[in-house]
Parts: sequence; structure tokens; C-alpha cells
Amino acid sequence: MNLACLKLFFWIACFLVVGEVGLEFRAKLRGWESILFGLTTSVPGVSQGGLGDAEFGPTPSFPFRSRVISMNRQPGDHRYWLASSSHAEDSYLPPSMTFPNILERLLKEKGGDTAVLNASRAGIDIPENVNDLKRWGGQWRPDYVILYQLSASITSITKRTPAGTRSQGAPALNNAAKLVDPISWVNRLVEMTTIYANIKGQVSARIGANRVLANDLGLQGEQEYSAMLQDFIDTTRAIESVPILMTFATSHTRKHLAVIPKDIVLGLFKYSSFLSVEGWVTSIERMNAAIRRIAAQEGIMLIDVEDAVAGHPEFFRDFVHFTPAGHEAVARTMRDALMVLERRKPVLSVVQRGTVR
Amino acid sequence: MSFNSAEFLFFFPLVLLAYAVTFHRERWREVVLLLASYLFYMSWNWRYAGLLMLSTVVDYSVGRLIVRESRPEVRKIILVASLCSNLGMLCLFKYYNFFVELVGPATTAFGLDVSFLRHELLLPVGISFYTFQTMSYTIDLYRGEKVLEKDFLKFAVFVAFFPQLVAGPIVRAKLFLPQLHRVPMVTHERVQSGLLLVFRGLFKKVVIADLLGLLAVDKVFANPTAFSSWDLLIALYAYTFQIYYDFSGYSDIAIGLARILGFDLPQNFNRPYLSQSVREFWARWHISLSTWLRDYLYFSLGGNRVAPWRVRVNLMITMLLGGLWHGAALHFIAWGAYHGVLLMLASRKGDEVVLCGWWTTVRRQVVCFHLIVLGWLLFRVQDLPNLVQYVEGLAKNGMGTQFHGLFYMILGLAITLHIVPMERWKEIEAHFLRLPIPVQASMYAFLLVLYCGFTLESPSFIYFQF
Repeated sequence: MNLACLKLFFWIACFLVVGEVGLEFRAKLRGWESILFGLTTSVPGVSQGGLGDAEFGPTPSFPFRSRVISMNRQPGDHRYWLASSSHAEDSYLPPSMTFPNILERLLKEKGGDTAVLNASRAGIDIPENVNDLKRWGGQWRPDYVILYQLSASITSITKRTPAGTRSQGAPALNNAAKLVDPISWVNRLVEMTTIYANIKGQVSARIGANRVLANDLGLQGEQEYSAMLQDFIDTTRAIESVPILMTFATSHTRKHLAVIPKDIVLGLFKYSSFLSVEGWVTSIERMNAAIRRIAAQEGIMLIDVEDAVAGHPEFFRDFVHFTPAGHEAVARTMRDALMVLERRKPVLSVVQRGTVR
Repeated sequence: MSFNSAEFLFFFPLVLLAYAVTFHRERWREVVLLLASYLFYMSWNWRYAGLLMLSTVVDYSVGRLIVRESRPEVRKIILVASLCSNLGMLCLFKYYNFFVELVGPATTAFGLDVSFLRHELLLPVGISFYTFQTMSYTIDLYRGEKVLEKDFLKFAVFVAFFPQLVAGPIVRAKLFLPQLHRVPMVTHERVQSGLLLVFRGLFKKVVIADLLGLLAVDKVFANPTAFSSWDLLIALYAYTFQIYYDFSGYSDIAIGLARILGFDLPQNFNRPYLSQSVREFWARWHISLSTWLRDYLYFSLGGNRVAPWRVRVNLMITMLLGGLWHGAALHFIAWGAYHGVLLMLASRKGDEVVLCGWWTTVRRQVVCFHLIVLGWLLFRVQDLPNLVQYVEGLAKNGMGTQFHGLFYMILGLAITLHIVPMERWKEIEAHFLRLPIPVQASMYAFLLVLYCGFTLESPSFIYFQF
């Protein structure tokens, strides 16, 4: 045996590398993120350099994607904590163009010192938001903690319910599945490649659309989501802050079911192919109803983003993520709702445990 | 780290590189193989590498003792000690909880609660495979076959050889150990054909087996009441092909990887669904296991050299234990018993008479295929209520389908690939292997990328759990 026997492997590796570099270059031209060329933006008028504005976090000592501020509170200032995922983090836009930071600017325009801590990270769900709150909430002491989280929850819930029975092809106990850790650094590396991103969008999503899809997450899913919301509320109150809930908005609602563009549908199946499009819409309606019900039961302020922006495709770049105009619209909706709180003294000095009157 | 994982995509080329560099130094070459095998095994759970080493040390020592010892009774004692060690380990990890649960209701009736006896140990991946492999080595030595391996390193490589470590084929010592004593035959042609086998196996696994599972089978078996009789029937056929393509895909990959490294592993499948009798099915399905059971269990019980009623009992015991080998659950035992009954009937009157009598070959195949399909229902269901739901659904749920066109396409492809004669495939493969290397490589690279797209959730191989 000599190395020449392995030339087939070298050729395969070469083709893969050439393919990846080619696709990365194409991605760069289109303003997408890639390993070689990093994060760029496709938003007109936004320079690449603007993506990481120096005055914004996160930094090693400031774990939020918002304007860097001191941990110490000043008398009379208001501090909000926004818990979400990619919807509010939106790494494709400069921090200043995401709705938590727009909200901060809008609230400041009305006078008073207000800070919005954007504790959102792509890919996380409510349990991670709660963990963040437990870890940093006590130090940063927000008056109000706002939660905007649903699509990631639906994805995670579907994987645990009968609707999302994982494919093991296995009868009875499946030890192999228990033993395999799918999230290794190699997996992450492969998932970062542009080849993977392309194939995921072009092939996986189409296959996902051909599964037997569920049309609703059902009561079990709703109960699981409600339990997560309750955990969020309890944790927020435990750090003596006031929880605020938001309904969830999507680009298309039930009345647009027949006209949802194909790229949006495929985007839905790219990472989660357990629910049909109707299943997504129904589940979001179901969960939004749960949010409203829990807010009423707990006497919690509700910001109805669904009512304000849902069904306006111009506000969304896919089914759930906002365009700059969408971020602006969400921030304005929040500002209008929160102004009533701004006129009050900060919670930290009043300590109204849990209820906004 | 499964063969269809991203990790393996990096692992194997690195191992191959190290193997190529050390190839002309026998000791180093074996060390590379052993290290790679243990790394591969430890990627699931590093703690269980100790079990693999224990099994290796015990059977290596027992093998030497058996050969040295001339007194038959002492040899027998050594053999029994070895079997107890191997089977004890298997029972502890695989069957212990099952038996505790089985006797639980009986002991509860006497006011005893034995649930505290349960353990929470995970079943080590591949334990059934390497245990059977090491047991065959010891039994062969006991029976006087000249397979003794004095070199511990070589023996350790035989037990842990990573291509077939976790899901077979179960390799006999007399087939594999001699290969370690000569320079492995690694040529450009063998690397090419080995890689083709690997990709064929990946295709079977990723494109056919996984998609059949994802698009229909898993959902249907999880909730049979939600599907029509038609869907339940089609899903049962689909599972029949899913399990075949999953396992034979794994075997192809294992044989292909071994061939790239210069070793030959035995064929494990031979288009089993074209069998004309259940006996023939067992000569074509998981060949390394069925021949193992025949040689070391059925023959040890007396085989067919005993009274006819004993032959039938031997068949039933063999198949029951074969069923139990697949997993510690009643439905596996029921599956084994079902095949035991079929083989008993066949042994009583002759396959052809019982199964199809005067029917033509095709009709025999169809009948045999459906008997096998029925068996897979017992194999796949989770428990008795699940079986009842499924059977009731088959009878009552009416027509209509929730499956999409892609699923039917994949099922059609699965059936077609199974029917096409092997000779035809060999011709196609020969044509492919004559293509220039860059052309072959570009097609492999494309397929590799495509497999990433097909692998929605990286399901593990079905046979890993056994």
C-alpha cells in the first residue's frame, strides 16, 4: 500500500473544498454568512462594518446584544430585559437596527433614562432564556422582563410529542440513540459550511415537506408551552422583576394559507419538518391564545405584536424573522404599550411583585 | 460515531492516512488499527471500552488455556467458564432488567418488590456482536480447530476491528486471523471497489432506509390508529424493506471499509426477500448470525441428527434464542417463536410442500415474502397493545392515504433494487469503476453532499441496539 492508493480520497476532498469555496464566494456576493468571508449583510444601505457597532455588546463582561451600559443602576432609570432568540438577536443586522435597541431609542426619545438589555441568542428556547435570567438577572436587576419566544418552542416541543416522533426505525429501546451525541464540534463545523446550508435548503426542506405532517401540536404541546411560560414568570418574579408577555407574529396567517410563497414554506421545513404549514399556523394561534390566557390569569401586561404586525409580509424576511421595517414596527408597538410603565417609578424602588396595574 | 455521521467523515480518512504511513511496519499497522477501533468504540461511551478489553483478555487467555490443556473435562470447565463470562456480561447489560421486570408481577403477588434490583446501565453498543465473535473463537478452539492466536495484539484487533465491531458481520476467527498474519492486500482497485461498496451502503441507509422510516414507517407505528388500513399495510411493507436496507447497508459499508484496509469480511445478505422458503430466507438474511446460531447452538443441541421431535425442539430453541439475541423484549421472543414454528413446519413436511406445495417459484416467493412480512410486524411493534392496534387498524381503518408521492417512489426504488439481478449490478459497477478517477471522485463528492441533505435527523442504524 502506498499513498497513491488513496488518490480517490484526495480527489473527493478536492472537489468538496472547491465546491465549498465556490459556494462561499457565491454566498458572499449575495450577502450571506460564510466561514471564509464571515458575516455580511444584504440590507441595502448597511455597511459590513456596521454590523458590530462598537458601542454594542456582547462583550466578555456584557452578555447582551445592546448598548453597553454599567451594571449599576442609577436612581430613576428604567431597565428592561428582552428574552428572545434569533428574532431579536438578528445577527444579519447591526444591533442598532434590531427591535430591542430601536425600542430603547424610542423610549429615550420620550425622556428619561431607559436601557433595554437584549438577552436574545439564535437557537435558544424559553428554558435557556430562563437560565440566562437565573444567571445574570440578579446582577443586572431589570425592572421588567419581556418574553418574545414561540417558533423555537414549537420546534423543540414537536421533537418531544407524538407529532415529532424521531426517526429511529427502531423497535423498543434504542440505546444507540441515547448514546450518540449529535452535537459534536465536527457536526457544528459541517453545519457551518455553505454546502450544508445549501443542501439543507434545497434537499432536506423538500424531503421534510413530504413527511406525514401534523396539523396541530395539540393540547399536550400547549400544556408544555404553558409550563415553560409559567417557569419564565416564576423565575422573573423570583428576581423581583415584572414579567411581560408578547404574542408572536408571523408573516402569514390563516387567511393567507393558500398564498404563502414557496420559499417561505421551504424555510419552515428546513430545520423542522414535523408540522404542516397549516400545523404551524394552527399551533401559533393555539399558543398565542395560551399567552393571552396566562397573561390575563397572572395579571401580566401583554404586548399584542400579533395583532399589530402579523400577516404583513413586508415586515418579515421569512415566516418569523423581521425585516428592518418589521423591527421598527415591533419596536413601535412595544413602545406604545410600555409608555404606561415609563411614566411610573421603576419597579426596583416600588417592588410590585409580579403585577403591573 | 456512526458510519453515516459527520464525525466518521473525518475519522476514517485520518485513520487511513495513519494506516498508509505505518503500513509496511506490521506492529505499527496493528497498533493503528487497534487504536482506531477503540477510539471508534469509545466515541459512544468511553467507559465501555473496558468491557471490550475484558472480553478480549478473557478469551485470549481462555484460548491459550484450552489449547494447552489435554484433559477433556478440564477443557470443558475452561470453556464453560469462558461462556459464563461472556454470556454473563451480555445478560447483565442486555437481559437483566428484562428478567427483573418479567418476574416482578409474580413476586409482587407474594408481597415482594424487586424493582430495586433494576440497574440503569446503558446497553453497550455492539456487545451482542463482539461477544458472539469471541465466543465462537473459544468454541472453535475447544472443538479442536487450529485457530489459536498467540499474539495478543492481533487477537485484540480481531475482536475490536472497527468496521464490523458494532453491528457485524460476525466474523469467525478462522476467516479473519489468517488475514492479520499476512500483509493486507491494499491495491488501487480494491480501494476503488471498497469505496463503491461504502457508498452503496450509504445509499441504502440514507436514501432508502432512513427515508422510508422518516416519511412513513415511524409515524405509522407510533400511532397506528391515525392511519388507514391501506397506509398500515404499505407501512408494513415499507418497514420490511427499511430494516433490510438499513442492515444490509451497514454490512456493505463494513465490508467496503474493511476492503479498503485490505481485509475481507463475509457477505451478510443475499437478496433475502426472493427466498422461496423460510429456511432459504435464513440462509440469505443476516448470514453471519444465522450460521453462527446453526454452528454453535443448533449443532450443539444435536442439530438434525436426533429424533424428529428433537429436531423441531432444537429449531424452536435456536429461533427463540435468536429472537432474544435481537433484544430483551417479549415481541422479539414472539418473532423468534414465529420463525421457529415456520421452520418446524418446514422440517416436518419439507419447505415446498408446507409453504407452497405445487405453486410456481414466483408464487412461492410471494408466499414466503408475506410470511416474513408478518414476522416483521411482531418485530417492529413496541408491545402487545401496539400490535392489537395495528392489526385492528389493518382490518377496520378503511382506505385513503396520507403518504406523499416521494414515499411511494422510494418504496418502488427499494423493491426494484431488490429484484434486479446481482449480475446486472456487477456490470454497472464494473462500468463505473472504469471511469477516470476524477470523474468517480466528483460523483462521490456530489453523493456525499446529497447524503447530508437526505440525513434529516441522523437516525442510528437499527441493528446498533442489538
